Amino acid sequence: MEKAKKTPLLHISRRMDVPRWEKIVIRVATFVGAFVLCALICSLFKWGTFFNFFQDLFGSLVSKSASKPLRSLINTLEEMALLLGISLALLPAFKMKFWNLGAEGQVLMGGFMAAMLSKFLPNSMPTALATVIMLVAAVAGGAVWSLLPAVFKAYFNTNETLFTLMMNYVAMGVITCFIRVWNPEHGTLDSLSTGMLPQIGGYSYVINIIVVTVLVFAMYGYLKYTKHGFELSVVGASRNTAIYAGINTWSVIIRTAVLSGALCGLVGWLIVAGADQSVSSGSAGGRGFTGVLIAWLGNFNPFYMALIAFFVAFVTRGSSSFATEFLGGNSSFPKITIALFFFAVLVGEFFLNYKVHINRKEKKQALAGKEAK
Amino acid sequence: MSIIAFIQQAIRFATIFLFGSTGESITERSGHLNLGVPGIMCVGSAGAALGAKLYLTLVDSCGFPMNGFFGVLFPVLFCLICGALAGLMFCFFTATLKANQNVVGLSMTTFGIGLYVVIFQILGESGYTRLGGYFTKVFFDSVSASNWFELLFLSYGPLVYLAIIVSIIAGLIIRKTKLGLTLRSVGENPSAADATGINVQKYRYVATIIGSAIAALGGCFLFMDYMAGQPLYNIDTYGWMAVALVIFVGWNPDLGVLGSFLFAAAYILPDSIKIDSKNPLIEIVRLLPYFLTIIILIISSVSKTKLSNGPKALGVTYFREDR
Repeated sequence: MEKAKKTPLLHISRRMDVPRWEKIVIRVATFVGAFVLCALICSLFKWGTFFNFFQDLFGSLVSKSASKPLRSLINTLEEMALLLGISLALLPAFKMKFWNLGAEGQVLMGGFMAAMLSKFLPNSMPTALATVIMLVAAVAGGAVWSLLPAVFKAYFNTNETLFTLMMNYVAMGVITCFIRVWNPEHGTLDSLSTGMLPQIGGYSYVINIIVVTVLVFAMYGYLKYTKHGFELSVVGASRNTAIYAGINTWSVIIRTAVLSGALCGLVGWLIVAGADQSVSSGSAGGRGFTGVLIAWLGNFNPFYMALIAFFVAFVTRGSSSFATEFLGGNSSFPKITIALFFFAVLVGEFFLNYKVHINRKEKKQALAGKEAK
Repeated sequence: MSIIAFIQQAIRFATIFLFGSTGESITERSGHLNLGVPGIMCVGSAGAALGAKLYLTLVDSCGFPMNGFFGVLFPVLFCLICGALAGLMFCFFTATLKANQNVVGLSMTTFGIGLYVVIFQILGESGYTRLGGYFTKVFFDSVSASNWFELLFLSYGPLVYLAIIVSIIAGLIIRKTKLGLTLRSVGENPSAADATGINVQKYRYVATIIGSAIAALGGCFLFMDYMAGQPLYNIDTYGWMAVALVIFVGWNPDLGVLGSFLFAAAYILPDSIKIDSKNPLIEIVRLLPYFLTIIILIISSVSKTKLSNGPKALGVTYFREDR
């Protein structure tokens, strides 16, 4: 006897043309769902804090001091700017399918080069000149850190994911070593002696935000309207096609990866000169990995990435003030909420790209009957 | 430190990498690139802590017998369950929801590290040393410190032997059995495997869940045996090295026994050689395992041997309707 064929209850198919309004509805629902999920988990850790989470979340945008009403908002935007800067730096490499997981190390090397030069530049030098020199050094530091994996990727197709990942630890080791030489008592280098970025309108970090805003548009233009942007997307789609089209894939791979590292170095400079004023092996603080996720979940679109980065900074600051209030100041708690946020966004992406069909029995039988006729 | 003692330490330390790379090898053979291993190791540690706390509560308040068997069983069991759940979550997102594997993996890592710290803050960081003794207790009782053979091969806790047995069995299954052949075919070419009637999703789910549970044991070992019940806060480093080790041993868990020993030896070398720990250069010596990994990556890509090629469909999400 033939075995009856089982039909699965659900099956999925790819959606091609999703209308614009539906995209927006799904995305908004995703973000709302993500916040609710985070709040639910918060109330799991501390019962009855469901609404407190939202209070802390939106409270993190409102400043408590009357003299600087915008400070909290700027702090959130600054965190967003650093995350967005890193994910923008990764963007060209990712478009080329060069999975650069070494942003952490490239940012660190950039920041370290800037801090080191600040230590050795003479104090008599004008601040503007010192700033420029530190910026160049930071960009060079980040670029060198991605040059090595890029060269091996271009010529031997070496696995760049793990290569760049290992370079993170090498960067941390090198920095720890130098810190132990120069400042053995502390885990960080001394504060910058020169080359700090100035405050604007009484607020620090404003320059960071401006630089990254410029970067968003620059990167959008670079990828969409320049020859480089076209070449790297061809190499990403198919290296053989690129070779047959006469593109020098070796130089494109190295050029793009170095650009990615250089921009990471730039963000390192922003962290050191614009925010922390010092450097330690933990200066990047896991932002290199979060940047990867932001680039991806932002669909490699700089403007959508900016939105995701804002939400990530928003959730980070909100849940860290929640943790201070209810969980005894646990600095790792935001990691959980951020991961949940990402998981929720992934679910949303699924519903954007796939349609779920429910296989009902009656419908099947009706169809079968029709066919029989 | 004598050379025998150094090798013994390295073998013990290698267990962390061995569990991680065995689990990840099984997972990657099915075509799932799980970059969540560092997070899963953290989850494994947290699970072991949950199990240990539960067991100690049972002992203290319900008069449960306190012995080595249960003392090891509870943390290991909870660790396996938590690891398997993490693997299930990874599969749900990648296999069912077709999300990108790198994204899910990195999110899992973030999630695992966060959960680990928060769970230890809730449970408290002390008390586990009461059970740590059962893990470190020599499995074969009559070991004399003077006999080098006994010291090298018989002087470990139960998890060390478990790791070696599991990795050798996994290697044999992957290379020598029909089950292993099917698993490899799913990782090499899922569409072809599907066409021959193999349930790709099922194989990927099972392989990833088993692999994650084994990888989680690495976290359990690190916490309960190597640190004897003291929580440690950089587990993710070991997880990344376990991921690298998979490439090093060419996706063969049984070769992982040797590979992990080499990694572990490189890792503990700076603490064993006679460098003053105040000398900053020790930080550079500590980078040895990472340099080793980079060199291995380069060698395996330059020499295009059969060994160095991973599963063809590694990291590619399988969707039947795609061509």
